[in-house]
Amino acid sequence: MIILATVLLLTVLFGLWRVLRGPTAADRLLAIQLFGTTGAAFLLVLAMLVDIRALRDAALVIALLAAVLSAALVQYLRRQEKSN
Amino acid sequence: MTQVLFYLILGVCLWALGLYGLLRLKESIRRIISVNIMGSGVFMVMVALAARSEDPDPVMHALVVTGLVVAISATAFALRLSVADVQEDDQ
Amino acid sequence: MSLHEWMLDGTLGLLVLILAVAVLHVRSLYISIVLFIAFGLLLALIWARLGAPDLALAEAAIGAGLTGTLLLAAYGRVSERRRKAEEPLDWHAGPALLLSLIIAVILMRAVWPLPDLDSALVPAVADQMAQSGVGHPVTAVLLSFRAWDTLLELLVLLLAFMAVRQLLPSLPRQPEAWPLLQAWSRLLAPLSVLIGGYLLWRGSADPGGAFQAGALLAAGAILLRLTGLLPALGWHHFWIRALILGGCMVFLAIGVAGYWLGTGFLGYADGWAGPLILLIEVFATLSIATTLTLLVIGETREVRE
Repeated sequence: MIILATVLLLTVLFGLWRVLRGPTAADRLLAIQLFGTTGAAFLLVLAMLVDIRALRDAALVIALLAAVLSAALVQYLRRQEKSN
Repeated sequence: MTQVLFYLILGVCLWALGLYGLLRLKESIRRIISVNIMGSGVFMVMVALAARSEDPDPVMHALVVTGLVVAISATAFALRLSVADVQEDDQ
Repeated sequence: MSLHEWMLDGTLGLLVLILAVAVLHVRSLYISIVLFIAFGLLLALIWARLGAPDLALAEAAIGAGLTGTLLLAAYGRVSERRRKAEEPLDWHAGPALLLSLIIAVILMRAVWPLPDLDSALVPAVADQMAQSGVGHPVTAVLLSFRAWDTLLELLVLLLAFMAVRQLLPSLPRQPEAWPLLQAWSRLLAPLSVLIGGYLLWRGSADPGGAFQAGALLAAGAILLRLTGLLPALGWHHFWIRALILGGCMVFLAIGVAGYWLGTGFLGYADGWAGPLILLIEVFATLSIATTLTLLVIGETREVRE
């Protein structure tokens, strides 16, 4: 189970590479989405590992907030496009 | 070395990194981010200390929850100040 | 601790350090902000790993979600010139690095003996839990044992909002949101209200509570405002004022009532602690949600006029 959690964290490393390399803003946005999914999955695995039920709520919050954040990002990026 | 000590040291490292960023960077938004990283280091030290006992220390957790809300209040104000000078030429 | 657990902790620590260094060293402001959002998310995972589900919830909602939106909003407002300006690498690197290293070493020496010491507060809280009126220790500390701190925290939030108001914010008019984005936010906003209410209710017995719930409600409101589904909000609306001040007012009123009835300022009468704490939490949640929403999206100039 711990190995699973560690492997999940490694996907963040790949996402990080995508954020740094880009090339477009949309790639970085998708990497953030990947981080959100990874975070939720990690919390779910951890919730089973240490048996704290509330971590599932935290996973729910991360999943929701990642979606909200991506919507906010899209809207701000569009504004920028328009002003350019 | 125990898990608690590992995260205590990590917290100190984050704080020092934030300080380095604060000293080095010129852009105000990035300086605000640096201060936030310093704050995260402090929170990490506190959460690691809370994890010393079998049941985590609720007082430390309550303090960090309070700290998070105060941090976002201060960040919001600082960010608004940092963009105050550019608002006029947008008009 | 087993080798596997060390692997997990080591990976978490390494990732968070890499992210912090990358946030500070990346040239573009936009990438720095995106990385900082990821940094907040990773912190939430570390809090979960350290057995602090309350903090994992709060960090996920406030640290990663709302701070990220705040930074993006600020980024949208800085001028193109400032955005493109690259950080000059100059001779300051040496002294700054040296100073940070020295302070880091001093702090390391300070924290080194701490793991072996114990906190007297843990058994003290456990002893008094029965009288607190709630089942979850963190909520008990926040709203019963140290209710003063929480009241002052609400005041800090109010103060920050008042300070931000003085700066006469102005936003460039937002472009019309895509229909897809509008539909998406129509789906997400009710979900955030649902989960926010759930966290508020759970807060009395399990991790959760007013701050986490308030941040989630704020996230929903911000999303609706960004996509133009909510009219511009401002201090001049009577109900906004009532919502923002409501948290502090109810809290203060209950505190003064306790003083009047002889249980002391912010003391609860026997048997009433549970319902009163829930009442305070409901109003605090609404107050926090409204204040955070206005802090992030701000009052725009056209609202004021």
